Amino acid sequence: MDELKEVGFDESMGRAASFLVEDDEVKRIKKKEKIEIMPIEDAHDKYGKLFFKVVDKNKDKYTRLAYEKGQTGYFIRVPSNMEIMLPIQTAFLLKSNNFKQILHNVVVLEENAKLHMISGCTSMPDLKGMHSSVTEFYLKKNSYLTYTMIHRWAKETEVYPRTGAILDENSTFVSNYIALTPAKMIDSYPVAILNKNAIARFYSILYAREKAKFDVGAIAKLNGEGAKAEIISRIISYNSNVISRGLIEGNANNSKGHMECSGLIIKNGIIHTIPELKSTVENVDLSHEAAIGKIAQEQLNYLMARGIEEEEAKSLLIRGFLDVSIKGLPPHLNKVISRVVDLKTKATA
Amino acid sequence: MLKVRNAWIEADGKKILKGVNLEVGKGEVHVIFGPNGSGKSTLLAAIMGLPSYKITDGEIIFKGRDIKNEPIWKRAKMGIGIAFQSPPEINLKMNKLLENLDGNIEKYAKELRMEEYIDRDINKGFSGGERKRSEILQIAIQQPDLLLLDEPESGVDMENIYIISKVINELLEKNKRIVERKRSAVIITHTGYILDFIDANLAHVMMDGKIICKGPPRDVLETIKKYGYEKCSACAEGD
Repeated sequence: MDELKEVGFDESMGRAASFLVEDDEVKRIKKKEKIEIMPIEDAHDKYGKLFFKVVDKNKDKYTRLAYEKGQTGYFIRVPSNMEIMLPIQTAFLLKSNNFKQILHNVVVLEENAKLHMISGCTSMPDLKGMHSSVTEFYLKKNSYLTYTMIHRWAKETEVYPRTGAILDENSTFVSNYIALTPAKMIDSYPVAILNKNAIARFYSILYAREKAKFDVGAIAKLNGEGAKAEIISRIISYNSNVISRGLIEGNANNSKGHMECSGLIIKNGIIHTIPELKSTVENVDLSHEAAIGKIAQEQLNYLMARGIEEEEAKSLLIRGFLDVSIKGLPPHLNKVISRVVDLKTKATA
Repeated sequence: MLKVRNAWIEADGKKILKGVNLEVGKGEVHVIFGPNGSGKSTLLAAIMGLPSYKITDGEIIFKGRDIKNEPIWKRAKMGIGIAFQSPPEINLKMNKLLENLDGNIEKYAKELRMEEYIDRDINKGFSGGERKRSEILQIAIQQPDLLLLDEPESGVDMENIYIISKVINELLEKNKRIVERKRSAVIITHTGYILDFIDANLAHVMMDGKIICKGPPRDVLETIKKYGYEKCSACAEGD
């Protein structure tokens, strides 16, 4: 199904495990490696005491919904010292009109575990609907997780992901968020809490168009000495409204954080960046930079001087702007992102 | 191939070219000398059709057609190619651009030692020499009939000049007899250094928006070296 392939869920590709939900029904669980992967409701007895430790169930009405009704979702646990080379793929598909998907996901990486996840959220074309979720990540000492989330919604979908991550000593969390199709509303502000020498990197690649509304960003709390965070976003707003938030809190000495937002405005687009830095100790190094502009005429001329027509040249520049190579992500997952960017930006300028 | 007739060009409301005439035949290579700000780059930009340069009078005839109202990409498709003096940095993998040019990427990337660069963003972190090689790579893949080269040798070391001029000579079919050569070129040069590597048929001297003299490239260069550009203008007045 193209809807799934376009968010990276492809059963012909090498994957360590697959987990597929349609509306609120778990359609497929497959695994090759010795990882634990099961529907969240089956994990309650054994692991339930972990739940809602990193996302406050009372934070807002969507976290309440997940707490009260979130019986669908995945539980994934990688045992200590296990490195999974192939990615795990998960996908949530909105299939019925006006359906409200309420999800709860939990991922646990035990000490020294390593995992790559590719998580797709999508809907059948022209559906109305809502997708709300709570996703919790527990990264134990020295673990390493890359989590690549690709969203592909229909114009009338509303999306409220609530995500939290706790990073124990020396663990690394690379979170990539790619949303390139319009949605009525995407509202997402994940939070990572970093302990000693932990590293969090948030990359967002967003293309808001056709009157989409995105309110997105990331929070990193540097609570342990030597913790490091990076929040990087590339945003295009084409006749749409994007709020890009970011907050890095330096609460421990020798912590370091950097935020970077580049925005491109096309035809009546709005981008509002709200970067915040907060430091509660002396010895921290926090910075941010932001730049918003339109497509540069000089670059457009340059491509046209090679015989490329104006519309195609614009579309190439849009594609190039969003085609970011992500540090720490395996090459084949960077390729998945490049392919999605290519597919979703061709001739759309 | 190219006839520029009495071209008057403005940029930002300022007159830069004041009645330029230039005629380049098939298979010919012309060089343009001139001090900074004399209008050399403006002439190439106007031939290419960059939108900030407005032609207020005169004609630019390419392959028998007046192209002054054609957009930049159409002129490129008709067979004009430009190597910019200071190309911009672009967030776009060079390969994605080259794929659109429909030519032999592999061959020229190898000849210009650019294989490592075509997976990188255009001109990002490139040195002066790498930028020039990148420009020549694009133009070589494009295979235009008229090459506009804006100071291909400036800021480039000996080895890089050798590499790029080898490819330019190949494009200009310098190994063929004059009558068999199909491509033409207009090369802007500040130092004339490129003449040690590429043979040119005719040199023009541009000053204050006008071409004030022309002659055999070596002789013109020698004269400029000996007497400076001032004598060129005196010479023009004497004409």
